[in-house]
Amino acid sequence: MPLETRRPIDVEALRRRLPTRDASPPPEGARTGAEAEGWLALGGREIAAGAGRRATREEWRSPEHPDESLAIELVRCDSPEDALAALLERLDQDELAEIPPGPSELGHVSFAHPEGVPPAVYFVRGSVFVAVMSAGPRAAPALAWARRIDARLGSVG
Amino acid sequence: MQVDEIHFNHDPASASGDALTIRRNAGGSPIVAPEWRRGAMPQPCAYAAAALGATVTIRARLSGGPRNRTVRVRAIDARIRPRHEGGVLGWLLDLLCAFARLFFGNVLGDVAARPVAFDASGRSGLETFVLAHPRLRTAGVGRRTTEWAWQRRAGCAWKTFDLTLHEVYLVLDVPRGPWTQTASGNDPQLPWTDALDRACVFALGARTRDEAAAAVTRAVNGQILQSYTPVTMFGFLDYRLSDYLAKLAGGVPFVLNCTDCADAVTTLANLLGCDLFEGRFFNMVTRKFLTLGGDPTVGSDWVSWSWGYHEIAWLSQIGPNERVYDGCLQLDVDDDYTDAVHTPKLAVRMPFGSSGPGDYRYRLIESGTGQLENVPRRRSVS
Repeated sequence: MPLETRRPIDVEALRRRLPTRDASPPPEGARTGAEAEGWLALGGREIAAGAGRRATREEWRSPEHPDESLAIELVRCDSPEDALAALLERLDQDELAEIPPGPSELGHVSFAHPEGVPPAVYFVRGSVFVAVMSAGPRAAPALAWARRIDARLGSVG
Repeated sequence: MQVDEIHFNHDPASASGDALTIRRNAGGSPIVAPEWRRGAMPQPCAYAAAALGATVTIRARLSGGPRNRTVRVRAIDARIRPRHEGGVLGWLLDLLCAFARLFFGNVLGDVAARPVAFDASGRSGLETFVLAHPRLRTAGVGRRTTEWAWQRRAGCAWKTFDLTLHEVYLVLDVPRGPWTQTASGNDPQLPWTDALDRACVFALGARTRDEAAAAVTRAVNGQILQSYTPVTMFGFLDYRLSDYLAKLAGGVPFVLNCTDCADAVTTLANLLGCDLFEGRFFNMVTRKFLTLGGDPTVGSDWVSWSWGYHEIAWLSQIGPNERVYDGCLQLDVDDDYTDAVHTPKLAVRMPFGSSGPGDYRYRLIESGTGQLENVPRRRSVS
């Protein structure tokens, strides 16, 4: 299936960074780890993510700042390539004209909002696409949470 | 004698002579008649003003009547009270009551008198009653309460034998997409009363679709606990309206983007009978605009973004000559874009246009193509 994006993204280069197969996708119900850090669960639900995908969305509030919260979406796909497709679709649902690549060690492919705008990080690990987004008026540490989640996904896989 | 049940949506296939088919929210099941049943929690009903014909009916079943006899039965507004205060105070009370009735009072009118036959056990059949003097076609958007005093004819007088209380939503026309009026099944796209609660507050008293769409746009833009993020927070494949309503009710600050605002405007306005679509346009650097939750007197609340896309609500269809609504921002209509003077204007039924001073496109886009994506959307709600 061709992957299309209206952004100037080298999709083939991103594809080459994906694993050829995802041996151990994370189990259903794998948590984000936010609960272990004392963050307050604001809710969680399954969300629509497209055919063949199962997606959950959780929201967490900082224990220190009530106006600092995070939304975390985990989209379990059939393959790493489909997880990349889910990521590219998510980029197209972000108004920013330019979304730079994220840290090279984050996931197999990642993108992150630049400094100065509400934080959001998108990455693919195996056949899972993850979006971590600041969901309150105070900027939440989306990248730090993305790294924690990536570590958990990596340890499961 | 007593009322046992009242059916408002007694013909789920039609909205021309009875109520709409509705549900509470995405969960559960549709509300089915009888909406009012003795001993049970009353269920609300909803009417679409423009869809109604000359006659609106309800159905009711009574019991405890005279065995094998027929009596005349009617219901009148139980809350209309004769004036019993004199002077200025009485006049003021009457004025306040009239004002309250206008926005929150009875729109169903009365139930016209008709003979009702009772069987040997004193029970009636499911009888059809015509509403007399309803204000359903004229009262405008709102959630109202009707309390009926049910009366039977006794000699030359009417005697009250029962009181029933009803919550009534009034919208301007049959809700448009994503909302449906499927007559059977458990369709989550049936109008939700949870959404009607919010939409009716947003557009209380609106009597035209333009008024309703404008009021909803203003309300979506004016929520005080929200702020802007470029990220779509309430869904793109569908619209997580449940989550948005929970945020509005939660009293906790939240963020949203243009797609979320376009979803809210389109979905809530169309619930009231408007005819909006969502649609995007691409690649632009904006002029300074007043961001969500911003104070027009604070310079830093006037912001400019480089956007890959922006999504707004369109009236009827997408095109350069069409009208748009944008609940996500307020444009700067001050003509000098080099100074620090800003004049906020919410885009309400504004022509998208191109380079004219009255055009939305001119007021929003400083540079870039602003190319239209001719994909009208009405995202299904969840």
